[in-house]
Amino acid sequence: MTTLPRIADIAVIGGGAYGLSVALWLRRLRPDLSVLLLDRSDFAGNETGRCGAGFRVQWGAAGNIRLCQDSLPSYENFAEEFGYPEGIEFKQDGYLILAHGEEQLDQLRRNIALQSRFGVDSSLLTVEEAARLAPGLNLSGVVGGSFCARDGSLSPFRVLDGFHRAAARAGVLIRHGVKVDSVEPFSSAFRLSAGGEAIEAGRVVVATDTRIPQLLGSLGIDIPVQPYPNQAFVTEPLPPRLGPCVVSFAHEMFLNQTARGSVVVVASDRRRALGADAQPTADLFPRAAARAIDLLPALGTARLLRSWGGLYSITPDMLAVLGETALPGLFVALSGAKGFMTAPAAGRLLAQLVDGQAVPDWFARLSPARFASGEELEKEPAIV
Amino acid sequence: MSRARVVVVGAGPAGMMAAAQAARLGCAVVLVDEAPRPGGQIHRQPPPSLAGGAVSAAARPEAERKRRLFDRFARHAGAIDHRPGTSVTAIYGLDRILIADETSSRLIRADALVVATGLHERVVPVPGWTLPGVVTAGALQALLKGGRVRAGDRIALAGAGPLPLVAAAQMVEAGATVPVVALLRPPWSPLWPGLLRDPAALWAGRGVLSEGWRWLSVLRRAGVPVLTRHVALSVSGDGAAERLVIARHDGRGRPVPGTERRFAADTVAFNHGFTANSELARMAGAETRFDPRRGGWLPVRDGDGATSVPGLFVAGDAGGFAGGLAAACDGAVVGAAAAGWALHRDAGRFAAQAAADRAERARHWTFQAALAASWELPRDIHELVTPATVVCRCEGVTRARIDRAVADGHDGLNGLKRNTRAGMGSCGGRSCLRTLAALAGPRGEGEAVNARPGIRPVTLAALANRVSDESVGS
Ligand SMILES: Cc1cc2nc3c(=O)[nH]c(=O)nc-3n(C[C@H](O)[C@H](O)[C@H](O)COP(=O)(O)OP(=O)(O)OC[C@H]3O[C@@H](n4cnc5c(N)ncnc54)[C@H](O)[C@@H]3O)c2cc1C
Ligand SMILES: Cc1cc2nc3c(=O)[nH]c(=O)nc-3n(C[C@H](O)[C@H](O)[C@H](O)COP(=O)(O)OP(=O)(O)OC[C@H]3O[C@@H](n4cnc5c(N)ncnc54)[C@H](O)[C@@H]3O)c2cc1C
Repeated sequence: MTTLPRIADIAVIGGGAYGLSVALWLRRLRPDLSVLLLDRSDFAGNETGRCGAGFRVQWGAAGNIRLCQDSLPSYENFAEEFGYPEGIEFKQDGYLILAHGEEQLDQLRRNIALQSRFGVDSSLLTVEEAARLAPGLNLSGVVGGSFCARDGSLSPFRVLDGFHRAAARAGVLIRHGVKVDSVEPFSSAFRLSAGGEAIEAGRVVVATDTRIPQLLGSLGIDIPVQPYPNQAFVTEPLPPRLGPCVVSFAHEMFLNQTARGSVVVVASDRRRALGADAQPTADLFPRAAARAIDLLPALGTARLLRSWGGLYSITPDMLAVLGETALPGLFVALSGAKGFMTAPAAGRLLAQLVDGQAVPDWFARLSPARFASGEELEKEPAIV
Repeated sequence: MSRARVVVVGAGPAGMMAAAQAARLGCAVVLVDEAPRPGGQIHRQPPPSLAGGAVSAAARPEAERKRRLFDRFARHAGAIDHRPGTSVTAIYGLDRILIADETSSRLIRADALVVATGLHERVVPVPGWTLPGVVTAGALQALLKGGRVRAGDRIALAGAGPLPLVAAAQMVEAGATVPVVALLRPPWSPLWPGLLRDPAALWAGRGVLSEGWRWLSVLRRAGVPVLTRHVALSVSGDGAAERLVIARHDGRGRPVPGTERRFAADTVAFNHGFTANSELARMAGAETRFDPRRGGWLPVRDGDGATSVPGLFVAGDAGGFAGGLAAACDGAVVGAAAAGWALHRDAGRFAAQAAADRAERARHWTFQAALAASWELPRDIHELVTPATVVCRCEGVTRARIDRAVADGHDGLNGLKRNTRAGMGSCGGRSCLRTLAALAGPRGEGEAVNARPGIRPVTLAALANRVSDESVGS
């Protein structure tokens, strides 16, 4: 490891999608400031490297819809915007959310109404229309669905590599293998301690997702996030079997055939307790493989490539937490378990806020202050 | 309460002996093996319909070893629940080992687990290595032993260690023409200094040496040129392998200009040593260390095969290359230790019962330690991997892409893998991770890649169809 600088104008802790995006935008906005990004692990060491690779604007809370809507053009024009000609494998075949029963269909209807207020081109589908979009699915019990053609799937590794390269080019100093042990206020700035070394930073952005409380708890800053251990598995590459990404609440499942042909299955388990132990559990396959085959029968003959576990960052309203904490100069970037799809806009707008620029109202509402305000939270209903 | 149970993964010489030993000592034994019949890599058996046939003089010692091994196994086979055609694909703990065949899967419990999964071949990728007709030396053998198939008519071989020589001789006996065997170093020269100092090891290795001598004689009689200190530069051809280009190297693996030679061949076989199948041990949490000669990331184990995880043992070549004879002895030693642990939580309990195997193993180990030097690859060997050469064939990742990632600072193996996708494909990194580690620089070999549940390509239908454990091992 090359030596760490002792001082930086802005320090970003965490080099996942959120940390890299915010660091990159900070330097783009303020090439005159030094930005240091510290990450305890290697490239894509935590949640971004474990995600299901899905993108959807079809949410049921305004904050989520807006973040995704604002991120979409960045993903559609990733090569130009981030100087990444290799491509991010964006398979923009849409995203189909299935309703098993009228109650779920009503929820989708309400979500679509909200989405259309922001100009999202999503629509309610009949079972027949859903079957035409995804002929391989078993739709028994399905009463309808919601669909948006601009949603889809894209490679988290490519996206992160693109952010990483663009950030380095923009002049962000990126250091992997550096675990930050604590952050403390220090005269009018902050002191970070990392493996015995001290770094002084004028402003700090903490982007360690579910691990944020470990760093901020001792400062008396309460960011309400809980880890929920989720699991996923992926098959060997298959011939095209599934165009759109598919969510089924009844199956507690998200299916995504990526541009490479592998099918990624994110299999939640509502009965699993919150906790930070993300190790895959032995009951994953009988439970989730059976459900996946029920949903997409062609998966029966598919061969497994590998499985893994990762942590969803559960917030009280299932929205991201982006903004300044009670300590001026100390910011958080917490994904609310959709950090891959929201990273472009979350990073750009948070960078503006850190720089003291105005941000849209809807973004300002994602601040951690919302939890202390006593106002009623707008909760996201469309989570698998 | 049910009987103490030892689960053994892999029915090669090590696993067969471990299973037999644990059964002899009174444990319930489950022997899980992917192959349809026992024997492992070295004694791979053809299906019964293809069995039989004459054994050549050179092949006789191996056939004799095989007979002794199978005899010893047969004595206890009645007490072993052998599950062929079944793979262990995940370990969630010794009490939750996931095994699967083509139609079903189950979780089984072990009081002691012996991982005897052997190793797989390593190949240094040179331009053209992904052409049809390019295989590993072991694949030549596997086709011949397992299916009585000769991979080609004109077969050129290149690489390190003795395997290319043995495979070449076997191909000659099977009727192929072998235009050349090109080796990085003479496999015999590093042997002598060590062996002459240790007569016991020389004695233990006499069988292997005389066998090697016989294989060399087969090559000599057939007029096959064996060129040592030569390096493979490329394979070329129109849509398939047609020729192998080699050159002398300068001792570090760099070709000496003007010494190139080309050999026409319809099949080219490489072997640059081995990589231990240590994923299961790593998934169970065993510590590893890197050993470039004996198989890469090896589980750290003591003389009983015990790893850093209580109850988890490693036997045979999965712990590092030492050859089939050592593997059988090691299996007998580790089987006794696993039985001691399963029955009494004391791996040393039956040590006396395995004393003879332990002593014989020591002699094989000394001999093999001398031989291991022939697998040491010259320092600059990876200079031959050109920027456009595909390193990870599953994901189509070139050397240029890997170099770029390393230059971007992703020089730890796990980060490099995630950044490039090299090693993420269907083969689980078997064919490229060693190259990736070598290209990564000093940090590359320091860490093994994470081993995640699902190491074998089992169908989702089989994983979904989980049956209960009750019938196992009783
Ligand atoms: C199974 C699964 C499927 C998912 N599917 C999707 C999906 O389809 N679409 C989607 O948008 N989202 C999905 N998510 C959620 C998404 O993965 C996360 O919201 C997102 O990756 C979070 O990004 P991040 O940058 O905040 O966190 P991370 O990517 O986890 O990055 C945090 C970084 O902080 C570093 N770090 C932690 N502590 C310290 C410290 N003390 N010092 C220094 N560095 C530290 C870590 O090394 C890590 O690199 C999924 C999540 C899971 C688990
Ligand atoms: C390609 C090749 C060629 C070789 N040729 C020679 C030679 O000519 N002469 C020589 O002396 N030595 C040779 N060796 C070395 C020789 O194979 C070993 O020394 C000997 O076979 C080691 O015995 P073992 O029991 O440790 O492993 P192996 O004999 O390799 O047996 C391992 C067994 O484990 C099974 N297995 C692996 N993973 C799993 C899993 N997850 N689930 C279930 N089963 C699993 C395999 O199918 C295999 O049957 C060769 C090795 C290889 C790889």
